[in-house]
Amino acid sequence: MKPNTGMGFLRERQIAIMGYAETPIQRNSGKSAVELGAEALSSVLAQTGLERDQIDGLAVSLALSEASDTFWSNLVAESLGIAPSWLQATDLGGASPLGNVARAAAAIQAGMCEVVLCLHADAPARGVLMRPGGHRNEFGDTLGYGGPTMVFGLLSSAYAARHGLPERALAKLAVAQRDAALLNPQACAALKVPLTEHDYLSSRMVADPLRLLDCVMRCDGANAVLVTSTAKARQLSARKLVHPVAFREISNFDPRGLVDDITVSGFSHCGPLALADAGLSAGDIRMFQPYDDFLIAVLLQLEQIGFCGAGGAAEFILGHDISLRGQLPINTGGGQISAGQPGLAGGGVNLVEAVRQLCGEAGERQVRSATNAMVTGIGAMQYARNWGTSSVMILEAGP
Amino acid sequence: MTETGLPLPRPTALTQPFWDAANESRLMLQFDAALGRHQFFPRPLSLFGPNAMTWVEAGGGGRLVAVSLCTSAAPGFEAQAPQIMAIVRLDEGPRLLAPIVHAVFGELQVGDRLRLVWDKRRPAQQVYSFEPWR
Repeated sequence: MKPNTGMGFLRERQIAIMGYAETPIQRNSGKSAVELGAEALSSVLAQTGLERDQIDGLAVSLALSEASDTFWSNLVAESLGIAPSWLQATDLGGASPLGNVARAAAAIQAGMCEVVLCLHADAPARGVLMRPGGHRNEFGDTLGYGGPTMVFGLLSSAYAARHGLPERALAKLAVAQRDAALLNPQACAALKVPLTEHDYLSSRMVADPLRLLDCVMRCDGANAVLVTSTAKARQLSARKLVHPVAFREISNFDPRGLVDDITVSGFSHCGPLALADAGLSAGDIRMFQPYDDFLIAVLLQLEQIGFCGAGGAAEFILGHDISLRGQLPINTGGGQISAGQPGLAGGGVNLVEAVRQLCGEAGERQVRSATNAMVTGIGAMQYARNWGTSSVMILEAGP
Repeated sequence: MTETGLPLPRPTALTQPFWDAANESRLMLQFDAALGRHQFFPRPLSLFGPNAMTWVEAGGGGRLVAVSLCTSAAPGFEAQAPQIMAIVRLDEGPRLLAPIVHAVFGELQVGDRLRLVWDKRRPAQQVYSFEPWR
């Protein structure tokens, strides 16, 4: 694949995240996505001291609860009283929040706007209005397509056939993430109960070999980050800065289906590239905040980004301390698996956690020497292989 | 939906020949004759080059790439739960998503030989599935 330029201005720390916000993640908030988004906006304005009119860019993710509205980004802008000169709706599923930060950086660099609110809100408890077409309907729904849970059951099966089912590593990861969620005030109350490896291993199969505790719980919630140029952030007297220093994304990896192993995803492409862009190796990453709609996805990412070799994720997890005090803390807020997945805003959960940690504001679960973090995104499902979009962002704490 | 509750496809100009052939128990693949490549699902363009695609009939044999026993049914399949769903690689090359029938989940292994079998439960439309090739 032809390399692109890799957004070199990121490595030069020309872009900064100067604020972040997250609502509580709830099973049924009783609120709409716009109402949840308004809470995140108010919170980020209070944190940064900015006025709403200083925001001239808005990037949103789509919402399961609003999927029938083809003018969604405008509805958000109008409801929240923002007049963006750059307005973007990103339909990359769980890869949308990271994608929005990168697209905001590009728009700022291009001079289309200066201060961008990346806002991700969803309220699927109100209803899921998405209705896929094309092959998803004709050759998926007609045959009994069971959604991402089925896809990850199939991916687990294919992985197990090559490397064995990594149950002990999955159990350790489940417990580590739950332990972190217990210290996360925003985590969904339904998930804030202690978990043992035995609990994981005895949870029922939902898409054998995939267990119930391999899967996220769908929730309501919103999160946001405020992105600007580093120069503008200083001018605005930003409290703290977090710099995205590298970003890579690929959608529809292997478009001709030539890769035999269906578990090989776009991370095998964009993971090593993102590390090279940042001038880092996997061993330099201090916190890993991977997209975790299913636990097996974390193992596949460890291998394909390059923390370990193919088939080596179980040994890696069992051989490393992945807790908050460990060598490589993984999903320090509990991840989506243990904090809850606020619908299509879910990709922002681990992003905001990484920013919070890099600001040194994670309270009881603060990771020591949190100088950098890798965050990832996964979005959409491809036909008879794996997921649609893979993205990797590396963030560093500002001075 | 049919009286069986099972979902029906909504064919397009592109896919009507596929579903018509399915009702004659033929599984059709798109074929790029210039490059000797098959593709599935049907697309408006060849994935491999600028050539026109033709329809060719698949032999019906394949291998199991991945398999899962799905306990919560997809909409319309409630009476079928739990259903064995699979990714199958056809002998011609493309992968398909399809149910596995006439099989015990615990006896299936990735790599198993499979063969096409037609699901005739929908009066208006036959749909492909696979069974172990014993």
